Amino acid sequence: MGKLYNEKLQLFRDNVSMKHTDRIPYLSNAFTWKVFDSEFSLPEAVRDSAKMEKAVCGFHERYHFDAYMDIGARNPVRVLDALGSSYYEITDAGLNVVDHVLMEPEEYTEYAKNPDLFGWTKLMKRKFPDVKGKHIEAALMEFLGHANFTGQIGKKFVEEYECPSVYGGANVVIPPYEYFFQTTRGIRNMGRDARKYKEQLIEAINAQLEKNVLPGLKYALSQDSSMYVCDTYMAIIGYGILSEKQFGEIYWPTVKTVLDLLDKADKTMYVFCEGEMLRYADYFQDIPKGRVVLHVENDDIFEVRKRLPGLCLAGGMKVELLGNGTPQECVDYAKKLIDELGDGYIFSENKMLSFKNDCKRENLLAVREFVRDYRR
Amino acid sequence: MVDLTRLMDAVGELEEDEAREILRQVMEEGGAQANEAMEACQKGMDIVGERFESGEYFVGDLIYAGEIMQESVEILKDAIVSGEGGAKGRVLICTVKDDLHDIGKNIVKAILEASGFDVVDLGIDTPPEKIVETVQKEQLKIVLLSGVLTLAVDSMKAVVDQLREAGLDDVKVLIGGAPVNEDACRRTGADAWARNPQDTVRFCQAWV
Amino acid sequence: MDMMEALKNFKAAMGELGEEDVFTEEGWQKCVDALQFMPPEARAGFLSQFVLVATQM
Repeated sequence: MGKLYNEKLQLFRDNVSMKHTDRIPYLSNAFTWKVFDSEFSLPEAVRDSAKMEKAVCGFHERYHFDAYMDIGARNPVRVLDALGSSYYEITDAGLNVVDHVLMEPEEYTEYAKNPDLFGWTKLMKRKFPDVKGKHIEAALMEFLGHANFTGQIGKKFVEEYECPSVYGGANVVIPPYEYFFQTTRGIRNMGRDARKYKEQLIEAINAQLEKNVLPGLKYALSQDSSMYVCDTYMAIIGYGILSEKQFGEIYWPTVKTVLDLLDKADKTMYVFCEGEMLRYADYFQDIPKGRVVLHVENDDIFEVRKRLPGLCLAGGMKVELLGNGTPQECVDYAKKLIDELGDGYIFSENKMLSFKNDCKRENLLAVREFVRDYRR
Repeated sequence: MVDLTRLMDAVGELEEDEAREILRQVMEEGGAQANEAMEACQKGMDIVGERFESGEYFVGDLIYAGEIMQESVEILKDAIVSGEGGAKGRVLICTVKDDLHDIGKNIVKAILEASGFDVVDLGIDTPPEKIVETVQKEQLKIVLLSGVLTLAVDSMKAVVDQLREAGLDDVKVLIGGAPVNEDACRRTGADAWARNPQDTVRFCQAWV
Repeated sequence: MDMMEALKNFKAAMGELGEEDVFTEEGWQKCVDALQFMPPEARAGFLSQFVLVATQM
């Protein structure tokens, strides 16, 4: 890795460790908006890796962020095309996910006995009732192709653009609760499951942790991840429907297990907190300094700083300003963030930039230039 | 005859199976208690609302309560008789164009119905033209717009603009959902915004 | 085994499953075994990741 790469990596790492840096690093949280900022339509770019690569590279060449949460590899849409069915609706307006249910609550116990076989023989069968071996062959080839694309574009960003990735693709931890929330039971049912099927849900969560999450995490922690900003990554999304008591009983224990393993291995984690995490902030109090970056979305980041002064925070730049404000308003707010959040801050958009009107190019250019040149 | 206090408590405690059992008994007995049973469910939803405000229940519980309420209406609907009092008021609710999320909308709808409102639900991904057309046809005076995605605010503005262009200045518009705040309310030109279902009910009660 | 050969073996193994309903315990094992382009110890994990993506999206 080149000099610039290592400088950027060190800048991020110093902020993760809560050290003072004169310049604040800018981590781009742009996802599908990168395509809206290009010459391509979203439906065509997600299916054509050459076009996606052009969109993503063009984005970097326009803005030159220090690092990226996504470099166009997030949605392996062609895998689902090969299988003939998807919950994703991708149009010129954006990407929407249809809430779906693939299992009944009475099946939690069966799931816990063998998650892999349950997923294959029940969930896949239900979602793709007409799929045969030949479709699986085609879909697996697309999955491999997508992994190759991910590796190839990752290599370009490291070698040509000297941009570190936030984390390695194999180092993503999915909290077990999220698996049921996003994949098998859906938002609509998790409220019921947290009350009516609490014990069975916890049993399935623990099985998912032991059989899928921890083996993957232990492997990831044993590998060299020194080229990434953080060693691992986790997104917490569905926790926001739980009361504090439910969060403590159902969600947090598995997250704590993961964080304890991380601490033991002396590794770091980037945690994206969708929605509002402030009501659960007490749970994050005991995380050792330098272990975690908390990227907050809808919370007032200044309030989060007061509650969690010892943790590196990321996010803060309001997407509603980037989409609706003037360049000067955006720059003024960016300055406020950098001046007031102190040490241990990674500048980024609070929400993922996903839809066309989420951002105006002139605003993003102005903010990017300001953050690059401003010194504390 | 069923125990209506037990029914109210079952809904308030989110005891879905017990509530269902009692409601089925109402219908098995010919439905004579249907209206009173509906009222008991509504009182149960009031308990849910109080517990939400106190922090004991949270969003997941509101979603669950909404599902229980929907099922209750479904079980009782053939036996419910609209009395002379009728509905407190009629409101239109929908998720705006390009947004597919409906859980928040459904929670608000359940609580409004529990509070005695007649709710015209246009579903998800609702174009502004359809909202305006329905408001004109049904002579509705309150429009509730829901959305979760950042683009929902633009869609909400389009609705307000089209309502005003159609001369429907006396129609009250309230917006709600994750991207909604004071600034969004100002930008869209809506009359109010709500952070939770209880606020929505309070606005609707004030506007009828 | 190089990648070209591994892919050839993968296609041959999957070709035998062409019109079969593979969502059985036996089908899982056959698909795991077919993943010749992955190291043996990583094949089940790869298929598990595939299932995660396929069922979530």
